[in-house]
Amino acid sequence: MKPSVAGAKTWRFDGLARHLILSLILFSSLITALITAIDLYSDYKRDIGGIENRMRFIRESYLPTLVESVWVADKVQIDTQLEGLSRLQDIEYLAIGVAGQERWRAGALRSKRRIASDIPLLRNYRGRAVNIGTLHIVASVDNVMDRLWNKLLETLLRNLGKSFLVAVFMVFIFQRLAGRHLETIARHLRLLGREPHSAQVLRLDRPAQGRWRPDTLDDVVSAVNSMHQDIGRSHAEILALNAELEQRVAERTHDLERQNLRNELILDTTADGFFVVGLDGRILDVNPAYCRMLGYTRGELLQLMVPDVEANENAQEVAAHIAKILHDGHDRFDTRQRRKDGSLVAVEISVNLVALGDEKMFYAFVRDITERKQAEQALILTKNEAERANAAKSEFLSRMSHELRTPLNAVLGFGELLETDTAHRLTEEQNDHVREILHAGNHLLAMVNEVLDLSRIESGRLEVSLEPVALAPMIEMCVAQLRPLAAQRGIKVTLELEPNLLHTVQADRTRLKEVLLNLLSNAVKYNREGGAIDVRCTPLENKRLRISVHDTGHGIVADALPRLFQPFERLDSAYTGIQGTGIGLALSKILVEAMRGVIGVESVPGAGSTFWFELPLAEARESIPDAAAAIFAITPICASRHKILYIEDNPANMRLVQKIVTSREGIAFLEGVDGEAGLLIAIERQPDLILLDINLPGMDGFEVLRLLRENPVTRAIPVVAISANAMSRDIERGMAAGFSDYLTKPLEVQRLLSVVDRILRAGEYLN
Amino acid sequence: MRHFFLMCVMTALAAFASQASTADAARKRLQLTTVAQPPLGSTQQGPGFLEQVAREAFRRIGREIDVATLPGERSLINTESGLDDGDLMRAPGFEKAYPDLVQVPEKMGDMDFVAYAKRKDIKGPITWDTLSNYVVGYAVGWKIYDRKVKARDVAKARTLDELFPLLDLQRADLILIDRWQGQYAARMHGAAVRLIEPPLASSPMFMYLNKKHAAIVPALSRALAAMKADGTYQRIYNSTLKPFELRQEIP
Repeated sequence: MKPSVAGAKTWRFDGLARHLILSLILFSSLITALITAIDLYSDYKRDIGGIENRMRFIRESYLPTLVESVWVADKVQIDTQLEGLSRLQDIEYLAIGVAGQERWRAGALRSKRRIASDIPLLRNYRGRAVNIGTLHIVASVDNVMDRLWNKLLETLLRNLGKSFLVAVFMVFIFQRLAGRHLETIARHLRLLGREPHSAQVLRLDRPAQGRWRPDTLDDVVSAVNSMHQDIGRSHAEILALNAELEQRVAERTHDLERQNLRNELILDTTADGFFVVGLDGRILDVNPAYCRMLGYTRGELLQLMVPDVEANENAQEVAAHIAKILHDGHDRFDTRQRRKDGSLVAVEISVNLVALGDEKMFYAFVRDITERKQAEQALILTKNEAERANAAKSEFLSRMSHELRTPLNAVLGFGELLETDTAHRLTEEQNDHVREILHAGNHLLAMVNEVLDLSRIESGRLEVSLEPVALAPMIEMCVAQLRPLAAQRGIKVTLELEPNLLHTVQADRTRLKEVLLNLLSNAVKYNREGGAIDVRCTPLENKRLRISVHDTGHGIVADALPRLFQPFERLDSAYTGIQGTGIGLALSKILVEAMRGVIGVESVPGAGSTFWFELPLAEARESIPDAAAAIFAITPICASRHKILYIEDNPANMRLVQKIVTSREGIAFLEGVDGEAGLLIAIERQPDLILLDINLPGMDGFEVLRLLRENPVTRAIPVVAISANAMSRDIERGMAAGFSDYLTKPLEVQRLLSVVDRILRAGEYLN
Repeated sequence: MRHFFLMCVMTALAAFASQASTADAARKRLQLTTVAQPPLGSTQQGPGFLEQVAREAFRRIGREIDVATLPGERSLINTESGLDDGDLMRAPGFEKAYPDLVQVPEKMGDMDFVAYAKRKDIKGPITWDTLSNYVVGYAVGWKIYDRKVKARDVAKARTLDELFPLLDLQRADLILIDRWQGQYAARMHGAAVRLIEPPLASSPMFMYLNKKHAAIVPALSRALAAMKADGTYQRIYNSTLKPFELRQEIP
């Protein structure tokens, strides 16, 4: 290393020197100002103290003689004394006031700033101190302030000059001792920056030895030279690292090229199409599979935009896909694309939004789904066919049950008439036959109803109407209904209800009765001769109620239990000669679950079975008092002469209803064979009650009702619907249309009579 | 009936007590002042002419007095300010300069303003105009001299005691004073001084009270007149002033 010696040839008054001199002057001035302020304050206090001392001196030394002069009112003496006092330093005015007026004075008020003091003049007279006047003294503060101001100016000027000279000297010393060497070091470092290999050593132009050496500058020179050596070493290391880095970059580039090749191979050989699209819709890249799919060459496709190949003409749908991709980053959808020859191909496209640096583009994989689409189409056709067939089946079942119920209506109705006709008593044998007819007819009716229910369930048309239902009366009624059947087989029925069972469950009244009757009739049917049935009702903790029916039948093996609630499953009872469709339990399960309940069974083969179901408790109590309605319904009217018109196209039904209604005395029965005939009779004869079939040829029952209500003559006549349409929807529609009541076929004799009685009685009451 | 009687007695007693206390307040001793020296003023041996006259006059209207002797104007200042209740003797017209004073119309007596000399060459008569030829001395507080004297020079004495020594020390050619006090002081002084007749001026002298006592002035004035009528005034004069009537020059 060559030594680099640089002397300070220039004497520069640079920023550092300027800063130093200004700082020194500023600091010195601040200190001077502070000390001067303290001095001046001290002087001020001293001068003011002097004035106060003079005032105190007057009070203590001159006051007694002044008081005596005032006492004798000696003007000459007073004037002399005041004049003397006014010559004291800073005292410029004195006055003696008597009774608020100045009697004697000396001096004049000249100053702007003053201190004043009032001293009472007290004299002992007749044994007490008497105020004979006030001495008013005014001292001038102007002189004090003038003295202070002069002192301030003098001090400031003197210190300013002193500070300036010290600052100049300090700058000279600084430049001599440090400034010029710092410049040398700066030059050396700049050279080092330009030429790092320069072998010069830094050396300053100052004596080699000194009393205070080595000092900070020597430290700096040593550090710079040490840094110089370190830089030399680091430079060599960086060169080595660079060479290593270049080697690694070359290897990595080679790896990447191989990786790219692999990726291209995958894209080239895959069966799915692949293309890249810019945000402007231009196709940027494609793979061979996509070219094959659309029949273009790669070069042709790269000239096209997406709309050139996309066959979906629904602009909103396309925009929605693009929006989803931009928002979510990806989308997958089916569409069709146009081949070069104009034909369309069904494809599934999976698109991802890819960001390469600042540039964004779509990467899309395309799969030909022509075969899959054809399969889907075939499947849809098959499904539609099946649904049509099922609908036809349900329609057939519904129509069948309707057609079956109409003749059954006649069979059961006339059977009941024969049984109850007191005018023409039957022989015992004939009565047995009639009972057989009724029994078989009722069984047939139950089966028809069950089939009808099942068809409704299958077509999703099952409706339950949940309401609070009092449980005890319901169970008692069902048990009472089953008791005769049980008695025939010598089966003892035990009903165990809590004495005050007031529970109300949330259920559909009709459906609950159906379930109860089903379980009870099963318990009778599958019991042994002389067996027992035990019906219980138990509240559960989770606001539910369990109703269980225990029988002493043959029981069911555990394996068979799961199949019990399947439709048309009769297990082995089909071979025991017991009647049944195998629908009852399946129907009960569906109904209980529709009422938000559960149903189940426990059975011990050889000992018997317990069928149970649980329903949720209702919050409110049942609102309709059944008893009152019942009393009103069963009391026969004491008829005067009433006219009842029945409009019905079926002669058998006409005769049946005529028989039933005319069993009451004093009833005139009128017949209308269709809607038009019925309307004419109604207008002409104005009956007290009209019974109206809904399914009339031509004009149906609803139309007849509408015309009756429009005519003022017939508007007020109560009309009761009689129909084989027993669905609750039909009943609701009828009640909404304005029928007074809605009776379903097959007609129950008692029900028809009670309705007739009730309406006629109400009419009598009104008249 | 007995109750009514008791109530009447108590009401009468209360009224009497109230009247008595008012009378007490009215009889509070009045504080009077004077600048006068003997024989007008009092000595330690006894009351002078003015005090005796005033005491008798106030006694006649049911009041008692204390009298203090004050220097020069102080007597007026105190009476004017209400610190004291009255000045026993002053020349007429003071109520103009001191508006809170009220004059008692019946005069207390007459005063001759006279000059004394020691130098034998000074002869009478002396008038206000001829004073300009002399150095004149008088005591502070004599308003008439402050107003009238136009002398070659004036020497003021703080008290009457210091007045006659002015002649001895030849600080003044003439000293001015009133006849009664002059005679008394000259006798006390003992030196050879001459009273120069006739007087420079004569004036009736009156008692002045502070305005707050204006209500008793008429009664007091009548009492003074009565004293002159019944000889009481003359008797006091004879015992106090008459010995100083001597009009010859004191050797």
